[in-house]
Amino acid sequence: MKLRAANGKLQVTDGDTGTTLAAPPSRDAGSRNFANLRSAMRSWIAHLLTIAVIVVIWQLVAWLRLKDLEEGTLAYRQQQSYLPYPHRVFLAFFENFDSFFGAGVVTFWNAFLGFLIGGVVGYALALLMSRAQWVARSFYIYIIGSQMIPVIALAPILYGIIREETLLKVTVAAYLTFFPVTVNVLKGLQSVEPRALDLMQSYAASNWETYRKVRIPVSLPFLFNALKIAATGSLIGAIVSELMGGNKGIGVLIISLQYNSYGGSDKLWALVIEAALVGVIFFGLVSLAERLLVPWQPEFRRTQRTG
Amino acid sequence: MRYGKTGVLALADVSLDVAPGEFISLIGPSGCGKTTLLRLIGDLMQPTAGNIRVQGKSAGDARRNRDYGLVPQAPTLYDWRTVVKNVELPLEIMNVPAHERQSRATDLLGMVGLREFATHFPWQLSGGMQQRVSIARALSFKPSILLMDEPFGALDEMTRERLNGELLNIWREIKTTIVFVTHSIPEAVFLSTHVVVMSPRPGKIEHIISVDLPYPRDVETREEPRYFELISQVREHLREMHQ
Repeated sequence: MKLRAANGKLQVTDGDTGTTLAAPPSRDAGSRNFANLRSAMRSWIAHLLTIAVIVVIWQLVAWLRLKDLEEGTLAYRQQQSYLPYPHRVFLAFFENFDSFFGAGVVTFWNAFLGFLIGGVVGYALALLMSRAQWVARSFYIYIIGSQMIPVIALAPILYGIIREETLLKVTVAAYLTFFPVTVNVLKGLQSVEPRALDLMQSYAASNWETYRKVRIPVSLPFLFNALKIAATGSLIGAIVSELMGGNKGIGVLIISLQYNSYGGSDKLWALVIEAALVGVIFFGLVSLAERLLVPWQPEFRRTQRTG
Repeated sequence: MRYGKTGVLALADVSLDVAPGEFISLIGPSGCGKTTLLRLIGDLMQPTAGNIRVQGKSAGDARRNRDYGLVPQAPTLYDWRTVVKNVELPLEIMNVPAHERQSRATDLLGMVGLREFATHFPWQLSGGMQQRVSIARALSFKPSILLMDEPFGALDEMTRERLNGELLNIWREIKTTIVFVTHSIPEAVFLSTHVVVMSPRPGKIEHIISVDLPYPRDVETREEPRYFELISQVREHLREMHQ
Protein backbone atom coordinates (compact mmCIF):
# COMPACT_ATOMS: atom_id res chain seq x y z
CA MET A 1 0.00 0.00 0.00
CA LYS A 2 1.35 3.40 -0.89
CA LEU A 3 0.56 6.96 -0.09
CA ARG A 4 0.97 9.11 -3.10
CA ALA A 5 0.46 12.75 -3.86
CA ALA A 6 -1.39 13.21 -7.12
CA ASN A 7 -2.37 16.61 -8.37
CA GLY A 8 -1.22 17.94 -5.03
CA LYS A 9 -3.60 15.64 -3.16
CA LEU A 10 -2.87 12.52 -1.21
CA GLN A 11 -4.00 9.22 -2.57
CA VAL A 12 -3.67 5.71 -1.14
CA THR A 13 -2.81 2.98 -3.63
CA ASP A 14 -1.87 -0.65 -3.37
CA GLY A 15 1.89 -0.71 -3.85
CA ASP A 16 1.90 -3.48 -6.35
CA THR A 17 -1.34 -3.82 -8.20
CA GLY A 18 -1.71 -0.09 -8.37
CA THR A 19 -5.38 -0.10 -7.55
CA THR A 20 -6.56 3.01 -5.83
CA LEU A 21 -7.75 2.18 -2.35
CA ALA A 22 -8.64 5.65 -1.23
CA ALA A 23 -8.45 9.00 -2.91
CA PRO A 24 -9.96 12.41 -2.39
CA PRO A 25 -12.90 13.15 -4.66
CA SER A 26 -11.19 13.91 -7.93
CA ARG A 27 -12.15 16.94 -9.91
CA ASP A 28 -14.72 16.00 -12.52
CA ALA A 29 -14.02 16.27 -16.23
CA GLY A 30 -15.88 19.57 -16.46
CA SER A 31 -13.71 21.35 -13.98
CA ARG A 32 -10.59 19.83 -15.52
CA ASN A 33 -11.61 21.12 -18.95
CA PHE A 34 -12.24 24.47 -17.40
CA ALA A 35 -8.73 24.46 -15.90
CA ASN A 36 -7.26 23.60 -19.29
CA LEU A 37 -9.24 26.38 -20.91
CA ARG A 38 -8.05 28.81 -18.30
CA SER A 39 -4.43 27.86 -18.84
CA ALA A 40 -4.85 28.19 -22.63
CA MET A 41 -6.46 31.59 -22.18
CA ARG A 42 -3.62 32.70 -19.93
CA SER A 43 -1.06 31.79 -22.54
CA TRP A 44 -3.01 33.66 -25.24
CA ILE A 45 -3.25 36.72 -23.05
CA ALA A 46 0.51 36.52 -22.48
CA HIS A 47 1.04 36.40 -26.26
CA LEU A 48 -1.19 39.38 -26.87
CA LEU A 49 0.49 41.37 -24.11
CA THR A 50 3.95 40.62 -25.52
CA ILE A 51 2.88 41.75 -28.98
CA ALA A 52 1.26 44.88 -27.53
CA VAL A 53 4.42 45.82 -25.61
CA ILE A 54 6.61 45.28 -28.69
CA VAL A 55 4.29 47.39 -30.87
CA VAL A 56 4.16 50.21 -28.33
CA ILE A 57 7.96 50.36 -27.96
CA TRP A 58 8.34 50.11 -31.74
CA GLN A 59 5.86 52.91 -32.30
CA LEU A 60 7.65 55.09 -29.78
CA VAL A 61 11.14 54.55 -31.22
CA ALA A 62 9.85 55.01 -34.78
CA TRP A 63 8.27 58.29 -33.75
CA LEU A 64 11.48 59.49 -32.06
CA ARG A 65 13.59 58.63 -35.12
CA LEU A 66 11.19 60.39 -37.48
CA LYS A 67 11.18 63.50 -35.25
CA ASP A 68 14.98 63.79 -35.50
CA LEU A 69 14.88 63.86 -39.29
CA GLU A 70 13.79 67.35 -40.23
CA GLU A 71 14.47 67.77 -43.93
CA GLY A 72 12.58 66.46 -46.91
CA THR A 73 9.12 65.13 -47.54
CA LEU A 74 7.43 62.71 -45.17
CA ALA A 75 7.99 59.82 -47.59
CA TYR A 76 11.69 60.67 -47.83
CA ARG A 77 12.03 60.91 -44.06
CA GLN A 78 10.23 57.65 -43.59
CA GLN A 79 12.67 56.07 -46.01
CA GLN A 80 15.65 57.53 -44.13
CA SER A 81 14.44 56.52 -40.69
CA TYR A 82 14.74 52.80 -41.48
CA LEU A 83 12.19 52.16 -38.77
CA PRO A 84 8.70 52.63 -40.20
CA TYR A 85 5.64 52.62 -38.01
CA PRO A 86 4.38 49.09 -37.32
CA HIS A 87 1.08 49.66 -39.14
CA ARG A 88 3.01 50.58 -42.30
CA VAL A 89 4.90 47.28 -42.10
CA PHE A 90 1.61 45.50 -41.66
CA LEU A 91 0.15 47.29 -44.67
CA ALA A 92 3.27 46.63 -46.76
CA PHE A 93 2.88 42.93 -46.07
CA PHE A 94 -0.72 42.80 -47.24
CA GLU A 95 -0.19 45.10 -50.22
CA ASN A 96 2.53 42.74 -51.44
CA PHE A 97 0.96 39.58 -50.08
CA ASP A 98 1.14 37.56 -53.31
CA SER A 99 4.82 38.14 -54.00
CA PHE A 100 5.87 37.93 -50.34
CA PHE A 101 3.86 34.79 -49.67
CA GLY A 102 5.19 33.19 -52.86
CA ALA A 103 8.76 34.03 -51.84
CA GLY A 104 8.17 32.57 -48.39
CA VAL A 105 6.87 29.32 -49.87
CA VAL A 106 9.87 29.00 -52.19
CA THR A 107 12.35 29.67 -49.39
CA PHE A 108 10.60 27.25 -47.09
CA TRP A 109 10.51 24.38 -49.60
CA ASN A 110 14.15 24.84 -50.55
CA ALA A 111 15.19 24.96 -46.92
CA PHE A 112 13.00 21.95 -46.16
CA LEU A 113 14.47 19.89 -48.98
CA GLY A 114 17.99 20.68 -47.78
CA PHE A 115 16.86 19.93 -44.24
CA LEU A 116 15.65 16.46 -45.27
CA ILE A 117 18.81 15.67 -47.22
CA GLY A 118 21.03 17.00 -44.41
CA GLY A 119 19.03 14.98 -41.88
CA VAL A 120 19.44 11.73 -43.81
CA VAL A 121 23.14 12.33 -44.46
CA GLY A 122 23.71 13.38 -40.84
CA TYR A 123 21.93 10.30 -39.50
CA ALA A 124 23.81 7.96 -41.82
CA LEU A 125 27.09 9.52 -40.78
CA ALA A 126 26.20 9.07 -37.10
CA LEU A 127 25.33 5.40 -37.72
CA LEU A 128 28.63 4.88 -39.48
CA MET A 129 30.56 6.67 -36.74
CA SER A 130 28.85 4.67 -33.99
CA ARG A 131 29.70 1.41 -35.76
CA ALA A 132 33.38 2.02 -36.26
CA GLN A 133 35.60 3.85 -33.81
CA TRP A 134 38.16 4.69 -36.48
CA VAL A 135 35.53 6.41 -38.61
CA ALA A 136 34.45 8.47 -35.62
CA ARG A 137 37.99 9.36 -34.66
CA SER A 138 39.07 10.36 -38.15
CA PHE A 139 35.91 12.23 -39.20
CA TYR A 140 34.88 14.08 -36.09
CA ILE A 141 37.49 16.81 -36.28
CA TYR A 142 36.63 17.61 -39.93
CA ILE A 143 32.94 17.66 -39.17
CA ILE A 144 33.52 20.16 -36.38
CA GLY A 145 35.90 22.17 -38.59
CA SER A 146 33.32 22.32 -41.37
CA GLN A 147 30.94 24.15 -39.04
CA MET A 148 33.51 26.80 -38.14
CA ILE A 149 33.20 28.32 -41.64
CA PRO A 150 30.63 31.13 -41.59
CA VAL A 151 27.79 30.54 -44.07
CA ILE A 152 28.03 34.13 -45.24
CA ALA A 153 31.60 33.40 -46.39
CA LEU A 154 30.86 29.99 -47.80
CA ALA A 155 27.71 30.82 -49.76
CA PRO A 156 29.33 33.15 -52.36
CA ILE A 157 32.11 30.61 -52.96
CA LEU A 158 29.60 27.81 -53.45
CA TYR A 159 27.54 30.08 -55.67
CA GLY A 160 30.59 30.59 -57.85
CA ILE A 161 30.86 26.83 -58.23
CA ILE A 162 27.25 25.70 -58.34
CA ARG A 163 25.68 28.63 -60.23
CA GLU A 164 22.17 27.29 -59.78
CA GLU A 165 20.06 28.99 -57.15
CA THR A 166 17.88 26.09 -56.00
CA LEU A 167 20.77 23.66 -55.83
CA LEU A 168 22.82 26.20 -53.88
CA LYS A 169 20.06 26.78 -51.33
CA VAL A 170 19.43 23.09 -50.85
CA THR A 171 23.15 22.41 -50.48
CA VAL A 172 23.68 25.14 -47.88
CA ALA A 173 20.54 24.12 -45.92
CA ALA A 174 21.70 20.49 -45.93
CA TYR A 175 25.18 21.56 -44.88
CA LEU A 176 23.78 23.37 -41.86
CA THR A 177 21.50 20.48 -40.94
CA PHE A 178 23.82 17.49 -41.01
CA PHE A 179 26.10 18.74 -38.24
CA PRO A 180 23.66 19.00 -35.31
CA VAL A 181 22.04 15.76 -36.51
CA THR A 182 25.32 13.82 -36.59
CA VAL A 183 26.52 15.11 -33.22
CA ASN A 184 23.21 14.53 -31.42
CA VAL A 185 22.33 11.19 -33.01
CA LEU A 186 25.80 9.81 -32.33
CA LYS A 187 25.30 10.71 -28.68
CA GLY A 188 21.85 9.08 -28.80
CA LEU A 189 23.07 5.85 -30.37
CA GLN A 190 25.64 5.61 -27.59
CA SER A 191 23.19 6.45 -24.80
CA VAL A 192 21.75 2.95 -24.48
CA GLU A 193 21.87 1.58 -20.93
CA PRO A 194 24.50 -1.18 -20.56
CA ARG A 195 21.77 -3.38 -19.06
CA ALA A 196 19.72 -3.08 -22.24
CA LEU A 197 22.74 -4.23 -24.23
CA ASP A 198 23.26 -7.16 -21.82
CA LEU A 199 19.69 -8.20 -22.52
CA MET A 200 20.18 -8.04 -26.28
CA GLN A 201 23.33 -10.12 -25.86
CA SER A 202 21.42 -12.69 -23.83
CA TYR A 203 18.98 -13.03 -26.76
CA ALA A 204 22.01 -13.56 -29.01
CA ALA A 205 20.73 -10.61 -31.05
CA SER A 206 22.81 -9.50 -34.02
CA ASN A 207 24.32 -6.04 -34.18
CA TRP A 208 21.73 -4.99 -36.72
CA GLU A 209 18.89 -6.18 -34.47
CA THR A 210 20.38 -4.30 -31.54
CA TYR A 211 20.33 -1.17 -33.68
CA ARG A 212 16.83 -1.74 -34.95
CA LYS A 213 15.25 -2.66 -31.64
CA VAL A 214 17.20 -0.52 -29.18
CA ARG A 215 19.80 1.94 -30.42
CA ILE A 216 17.73 3.59 -33.14
CA PRO A 217 14.59 4.09 -30.99
CA VAL A 218 16.79 5.49 -28.19
CA SER A 219 18.40 7.92 -30.67
CA LEU A 220 15.11 9.38 -31.94
CA PRO A 221 14.57 11.98 -29.19
CA PHE A 222 18.16 13.11 -29.84
CA LEU A 223 17.41 13.31 -33.56
CA PHE A 224 14.42 15.58 -32.98
CA ASN A 225 16.42 17.79 -30.68
CA ALA A 226 18.88 18.25 -33.53
CA LEU A 227 16.13 18.78 -36.10
CA LYS A 228 14.69 21.62 -34.05
CA ILE A 229 18.06 23.38 -34.14
CA ALA A 230 18.43 22.57 -37.84
CA ALA A 231 14.96 23.89 -38.74
CA THR A 232 16.04 27.48 -38.10
CA GLY A 233 19.59 26.85 -39.32
CA SER A 234 18.51 25.50 -42.69
CA LEU A 235 16.13 28.42 -43.20
CA ILE A 236 18.86 30.96 -42.48
CA GLY A 237 21.15 29.02 -44.83
CA ALA A 238 18.55 29.23 -47.61
CA ILE A 239 17.97 32.97 -47.11
CA VAL A 240 21.70 33.74 -47.02
CA SER A 241 22.10 31.75 -50.27
CA GLU A 242 19.30 33.81 -51.83
CA LEU A 243 21.24 36.97 -51.04
CA MET A 244 23.91 35.76 -53.51
CA GLY A 245 21.51 36.17 -56.39
CA GLY A 246 18.61 34.31 -57.88
CA ASN A 247 15.03 34.92 -58.85
CA LYS A 248 12.82 33.70 -56.04
CA GLY A 249 12.73 33.70 -52.28
CA ILE A 250 12.70 35.93 -49.23
CA GLY A 251 16.44 36.63 -49.52
CA VAL A 252 16.06 37.70 -53.16
CA LEU A 253 13.40 40.25 -52.24
CA ILE A 254 15.47 41.51 -49.29
CA ILE A 255 18.55 42.11 -51.42
CA SER A 256 16.61 43.79 -54.24
CA LEU A 257 14.87 46.10 -51.76
CA GLN A 258 18.19 47.06 -50.24
CA TYR A 259 19.60 48.03 -53.64
CA ASN A 260 16.46 49.88 -54.63
CA SER A 261 16.50 53.05 -52.54
CA TYR A 262 12.78 53.66 -53.10
CA GLY A 263 11.87 50.15 -52.13
CA GLY A 264 10.86 51.31 -48.67
CA SER A 265 12.05 49.99 -45.37
CA ASP A 266 8.49 49.01 -44.48
CA LYS A 267 8.68 46.22 -47.06
CA LEU A 268 12.07 45.14 -45.73
CA TRP A 269 10.70 44.91 -42.24
CA ALA A 270 7.71 42.97 -43.48
CA LEU A 271 10.06 40.45 -45.09
CA VAL A 272 12.20 40.14 -41.97
CA ILE A 273 9.10 39.40 -39.93
CA GLU A 274 7.91 36.93 -42.55
CA ALA A 275 11.23 35.11 -42.34
CA ALA A 276 10.80 34.87 -38.58
CA LEU A 277 7.26 33.54 -38.99
CA VAL A 278 8.38 30.89 -41.48
CA GLY A 279 11.05 29.86 -38.95
CA VAL A 280 8.47 29.56 -36.18
CA ILE A 281 6.17 27.50 -38.42
CA PHE A 282 9.07 25.23 -39.44
CA PHE A 283 10.00 24.70 -35.79
CA GLY A 284 6.36 24.01 -34.96
CA LEU A 285 6.11 21.38 -37.70
CA VAL A 286 9.21 19.60 -36.38
CA SER A 287 7.76 19.67 -32.85
CA LEU A 288 4.49 18.25 -34.14
CA ALA A 289 6.32 15.47 -35.99
CA GLU A 290 8.19 14.67 -32.78
CA ARG A 291 4.96 14.37 -30.85
CA LEU A 292 3.58 11.96 -33.44
CA LEU A 293 6.68 9.87 -34.04
CA VAL A 294 8.37 9.81 -30.62
CA PRO A 295 5.39 10.02 -28.26
CA TRP A 296 6.95 8.01 -25.44
CA GLN A 297 9.07 10.85 -24.06
CA PRO A 298 8.29 11.94 -20.50
CA GLU A 299 7.07 15.41 -21.49
CA PHE A 300 4.32 13.98 -23.69
CA ARG A 301 3.00 11.57 -21.09
CA ARG A 302 -0.53 12.25 -20.02
CA THR A 303 -1.27 9.19 -17.93
CA GLN A 304 0.16 9.03 -14.46
CA ARG A 305 1.97 6.07 -12.98
CA THR A 306 -0.42 3.73 -11.27
CA GLY A 307 1.55 3.04 -8.14
CA MET B 1 39.45 -15.71 -12.70
CA ARG B 2 40.68 -12.27 -13.43
CA TYR B 3 38.64 -9.61 -15.00
CA GLY B 4 39.16 -6.10 -16.26
CA LYS B 5 42.04 -4.11 -17.72
CA THR B 6 43.46 -3.40 -14.31
CA GLY B 7 43.53 -7.09 -13.64
CA VAL B 8 41.67 -6.98 -10.37
CA LEU B 9 41.20 -10.48 -9.14
CA ALA B 10 37.44 -10.63 -8.98
CA LEU B 11 37.01 -14.31 -8.38
CA ALA B 12 39.47 -16.98 -7.31
CA ASP B 13 39.10 -20.75 -7.25
CA VAL B 14 35.39 -20.65 -7.71
CA SER B 15 33.90 -24.02 -8.37
CA LEU B 16 30.20 -24.52 -8.45
CA ASP B 17 28.05 -27.31 -9.82
CA VAL B 18 24.43 -26.62 -10.48
CA ALA B 19 22.05 -29.46 -11.23
CA PRO B 20 19.08 -28.90 -13.56
CA GLY B 21 16.01 -27.57 -11.81
CA GLU B 22 17.88 -26.21 -8.81
CA PHE B 23 17.33 -22.78 -7.40
CA ILE B 24 20.73 -21.38 -6.42
CA SER B 25 21.20 -18.11 -4.58
CA LEU B 26 24.52 -16.29 -4.54
CA ILE B 27 24.88 -14.18 -1.43
CA GLY B 28 27.72 -12.17 0.02
CA PRO B 29 28.84 -8.67 0.88
CA SER B 30 29.13 -6.16 -1.95
CA GLY B 31 32.31 -6.64 -3.93
CA CYS B 32 32.33 -10.40 -3.43
CA GLY B 33 31.92 -10.98 -7.16
CA LYS B 34 28.44 -12.48 -7.10
CA THR B 35 27.28 -10.34 -10.02
CA THR B 36 30.57 -11.05 -11.79
CA LEU B 37 29.98 -14.76 -11.38
CA LEU B 38 26.47 -14.38 -12.80
CA ARG B 39 27.80 -12.42 -15.76
CA LEU B 40 30.45 -15.07 -16.38
CA ILE B 41 27.84 -17.80 -16.39
CA GLY B 42 25.71 -15.76 -18.80
CA ASP B 43 28.66 -15.08 -21.11
CA LEU B 44 28.27 -11.34 -20.66
CA MET B 45 31.89 -11.40 -19.54
CA GLN B 46 34.73 -13.81 -20.28
CA PRO B 47 36.82 -15.43 -17.53
CA THR B 48 40.58 -14.96 -17.78
CA ALA B 49 41.05 -18.49 -16.57
CA GLY B 50 38.86 -21.46 -15.87
CA ASN B 51 35.75 -22.48 -17.70
CA ILE B 52 32.04 -22.72 -17.47
CA ARG B 53 30.11 -25.65 -18.84
CA VAL B 54 26.39 -25.53 -19.27
CA GLN B 55 24.80 -28.83 -20.21
CA GLY B 56 28.08 -29.81 -21.84
CA LYS B 57 28.36 -26.53 -23.75
CA SER B 58 30.56 -23.51 -23.14
CA ALA B 59 28.88 -20.41 -21.70
CA GLY B 60 29.18 -18.72 -25.12
CA ASP B 61 27.50 -21.59 -26.92
CA ALA B 62 24.78 -21.70 -24.29
CA ARG B 63 24.12 -17.99 -24.77
CA ARG B 64 24.02 -18.33 -28.54
CA ASN B 65 21.70 -21.28 -28.06
CA ARG B 66 19.42 -18.97 -26.04
CA ASP B 67 19.67 -21.00 -22.88
CA TYR B 68 19.76 -17.95 -20.62
CA GLY B 69 16.89 -15.78 -19.52
CA LEU B 70 18.31 -12.64 -17.95
CA VAL B 71 16.52 -10.59 -15.30
CA PRO B 72 18.68 -7.55 -14.55
CA GLN B 73 18.69 -5.41 -11.40
CA ALA B 74 16.44 -2.75 -12.92
CA PRO B 75 13.47 -3.78 -15.09
CA THR B 76 15.05 -2.21 -18.23
CA LEU B 77 11.83 -2.11 -20.19
CA TYR B 78 11.50 -0.09 -23.38
CA ASP B 79 9.31 2.98 -23.05
CA TRP B 80 8.30 2.92 -26.71
CA ARG B 81 6.79 -0.55 -26.41
CA THR B 82 3.68 -1.59 -24.57
CA VAL B 83 3.99 -4.20 -21.82
CA VAL B 84 3.00 -7.05 -24.15
CA LYS B 85 5.36 -5.80 -26.88
CA ASN B 86 8.18 -5.71 -24.33
CA VAL B 87 7.56 -9.36 -23.51
CA GLU B 88 7.48 -10.17 -27.23
CA LEU B 89 10.80 -8.47 -27.98
CA PRO B 90 13.07 -11.51 -27.54
CA LEU B 91 10.65 -13.55 -29.63
CA GLU B 92 10.82 -10.98 -32.44
CA ILE B 93 14.57 -11.35 -32.47
CA MET B 94 14.19 -15.13 -32.55
CA ASN B 95 11.81 -14.87 -35.52
CA VAL B 96 8.85 -16.44 -33.76
CA PRO B 97 5.66 -15.93 -35.84
CA ALA B 98 3.45 -13.05 -34.71
CA HIS B 99 0.45 -15.09 -33.52
CA GLU B 100 2.65 -17.36 -31.43
CA ARG B 101 4.50 -14.38 -29.97
CA GLN B 102 1.25 -12.85 -28.96
CA SER B 103 -0.20 -15.96 -27.38
CA ARG B 104 3.00 -16.71 -25.45
CA ALA B 105 3.31 -13.15 -24.20
CA THR B 106 -0.33 -13.11 -23.11
CA ASP B 107 0.10 -16.42 -21.26
CA LEU B 108 3.19 -15.15 -19.46
CA LEU B 109 1.52 -11.89 -18.50
CA GLY B 110 -1.28 -14.00 -17.06
CA MET B 111 1.28 -16.01 -15.12
CA VAL B 112 2.73 -12.86 -13.52
CA GLY B 113 -0.75 -11.43 -12.96
CA LEU B 114 -0.57 -8.55 -15.42
CA ARG B 115 -2.86 -9.65 -18.24
CA GLU B 116 -5.05 -6.57 -17.96
CA PHE B 117 -1.98 -4.32 -18.18
CA ALA B 118 -0.84 -5.73 -21.54
CA THR B 119 -1.50 -2.54 -23.47
CA HIS B 120 -0.12 -0.20 -20.81
CA PHE B 121 3.25 1.41 -21.22
CA PRO B 122 6.05 0.50 -18.76
CA TRP B 123 6.11 3.95 -17.18
CA GLN B 124 2.47 3.53 -16.22
CA LEU B 125 3.35 0.59 -13.94
CA SER B 126 4.76 0.46 -10.42
CA GLY B 127 8.29 -0.83 -9.78
CA GLY B 128 7.03 -4.27 -8.72
CA MET B 129 4.85 -4.60 -11.80
CA GLN B 130 7.73 -3.56 -14.05
CA GLN B 131 9.95 -6.23 -12.55
CA ARG B 132 7.23 -8.85 -13.17
CA VAL B 133 7.15 -7.78 -16.82
CA SER B 134 10.93 -8.21 -16.89
CA ILE B 135 10.54 -11.77 -15.55
CA ALA B 136 7.84 -12.57 -18.11
CA ARG B 137 10.11 -11.25 -20.85
CA ALA B 138 13.02 -13.43 -19.66
CA LEU B 139 10.76 -16.49 -19.71
CA SER B 140 9.24 -15.73 -23.12
CA PHE B 141 11.67 -17.88 -25.10
CA LYS B 142 11.66 -20.73 -22.57
CA PRO B 143 15.31 -20.55 -21.53
CA SER B 144 16.64 -23.51 -19.55
CA ILE B 145 18.42 -21.26 -17.04
CA LEU B 146 17.15 -18.06 -15.48
CA LEU B 147 19.87 -15.64 -14.36
CA MET B 148 18.51 -13.09 -11.90
CA ASP B 149 20.65 -10.26 -10.62
CA GLU B 150 19.10 -8.79 -7.46
CA PRO B 151 15.81 -8.42 -9.29
CA PHE B 152 13.86 -7.39 -6.19
CA GLY B 153 16.59 -5.29 -4.55
CA ALA B 154 14.89 -1.97 -5.25
CA LEU B 155 11.44 -3.02 -4.05
CA ASP B 156 9.80 -2.48 -0.70
CA GLU B 157 9.70 -5.44 1.70
CA MET B 158 6.03 -6.27 1.18
CA THR B 159 6.23 -6.30 -2.59
CA ARG B 160 9.44 -8.24 -2.41
CA GLU B 161 7.94 -11.00 -0.27
CA ARG B 162 4.95 -11.29 -2.55
CA LEU B 163 7.15 -11.49 -5.65
CA ASN B 164 9.30 -14.12 -3.91
CA GLY B 165 6.18 -16.25 -3.53
CA GLU B 166 5.17 -15.68 -7.14
CA LEU B 167 8.65 -16.49 -8.39
CA LEU B 168 8.60 -19.84 -6.55
CA ASN B 169 5.24 -20.69 -8.11
CA ILE B 170 6.57 -19.87 -11.57
CA TRP B 171 9.75 -21.86 -10.97
CA ARG B 172 7.79 -24.90 -9.84
CA GLU B 173 5.49 -24.58 -12.82
CA ILE B 174 8.10 -24.28 -15.56
CA LYS B 175 10.85 -26.32 -13.82
CA THR B 176 13.74 -24.14 -14.91
CA THR B 177 17.12 -23.73 -13.24
CA ILE B 178 17.56 -20.41 -11.48
CA VAL B 179 20.75 -18.64 -10.41
CA PHE B 180 19.73 -15.76 -8.22
CA VAL B 181 21.99 -13.01 -6.88
CA THR B 182 20.79 -11.30 -3.72
CA HIS B 183 22.01 -9.53 -0.63
CA SER B 184 18.96 -10.44 1.40
CA ILE B 185 19.45 -13.44 3.68
CA PRO B 186 15.73 -14.20 4.21
CA GLU B 187 15.11 -13.98 0.48
CA ALA B 188 17.95 -16.39 -0.29
CA VAL B 189 16.74 -18.93 2.29
CA PHE B 190 13.09 -18.66 1.35
CA LEU B 191 13.67 -19.20 -2.36
CA SER B 192 16.60 -21.50 -2.81
CA THR B 193 17.42 -25.14 -2.87
CA HIS B 194 21.02 -24.10 -2.16
CA VAL B 195 22.47 -20.87 -0.80
CA VAL B 196 26.02 -20.11 -1.93
CA VAL B 197 27.83 -17.86 0.54
CA MET B 198 30.64 -15.84 -1.02
CA SER B 199 33.47 -13.77 0.49
CA PRO B 200 35.03 -10.68 -1.07
CA ARG B 201 38.39 -9.68 -2.57
CA PRO B 202 39.04 -12.03 -4.16
CA GLY B 203 35.59 -13.53 -4.49
CA LYS B 204 35.47 -17.04 -3.15
CA ILE B 205 32.77 -19.55 -2.42
CA GLU B 206 32.93 -20.10 1.34
CA HIS B 207 29.92 -22.29 2.00
CA ILE B 208 27.12 -23.98 0.16
CA ILE B 209 24.10 -24.49 2.36
CA SER B 210 21.35 -26.89 1.36
CA VAL B 211 17.98 -25.51 2.30
CA ASP B 212 15.88 -28.44 3.45
CA LEU B 213 12.63 -26.57 3.78
CA PRO B 214 9.94 -28.46 1.87
CA TYR B 215 8.21 -26.98 -1.16
CA PRO B 216 5.69 -25.50 -1.71
CA ARG B 217 6.90 -22.71 0.50
CA ASP B 218 4.48 -20.00 1.44
CA VAL B 219 3.75 -17.41 4.10
CA GLU B 220 3.82 -20.12 6.78
CA THR B 221 7.33 -21.16 5.77
CA ARG B 222 8.45 -17.77 6.96
CA GLU B 223 7.27 -18.64 10.48
CA GLU B 224 8.90 -22.06 10.80
CA PRO B 225 11.77 -22.57 13.27
CA ARG B 226 13.87 -24.30 10.61
CA TYR B 227 13.56 -21.19 8.41
CA PHE B 228 14.98 -19.03 11.20
CA GLU B 229 17.74 -21.57 11.93
CA LEU B 230 18.86 -21.46 8.32
CA ILE B 231 18.79 -17.68 8.29
CA SER B 232 20.99 -17.63 11.39
CA GLN B 233 23.33 -20.13 9.81
CA VAL B 234 23.80 -18.00 6.68
CA ARG B 235 24.18 -14.88 8.79
CA GLU B 236 26.91 -16.50 10.90
CA HIS B 237 28.82 -17.57 7.80
CA LEU B 238 28.65 -14.02 6.50
CA ARG B 239 29.77 -12.61 9.83
CA GLU B 240 32.78 -14.96 10.05
CA MET B 241 34.28 -13.24 7.02
CA HIS B 242 34.48 -9.93 8.75
CA GLN B 243 36.55 -11.32 11.59
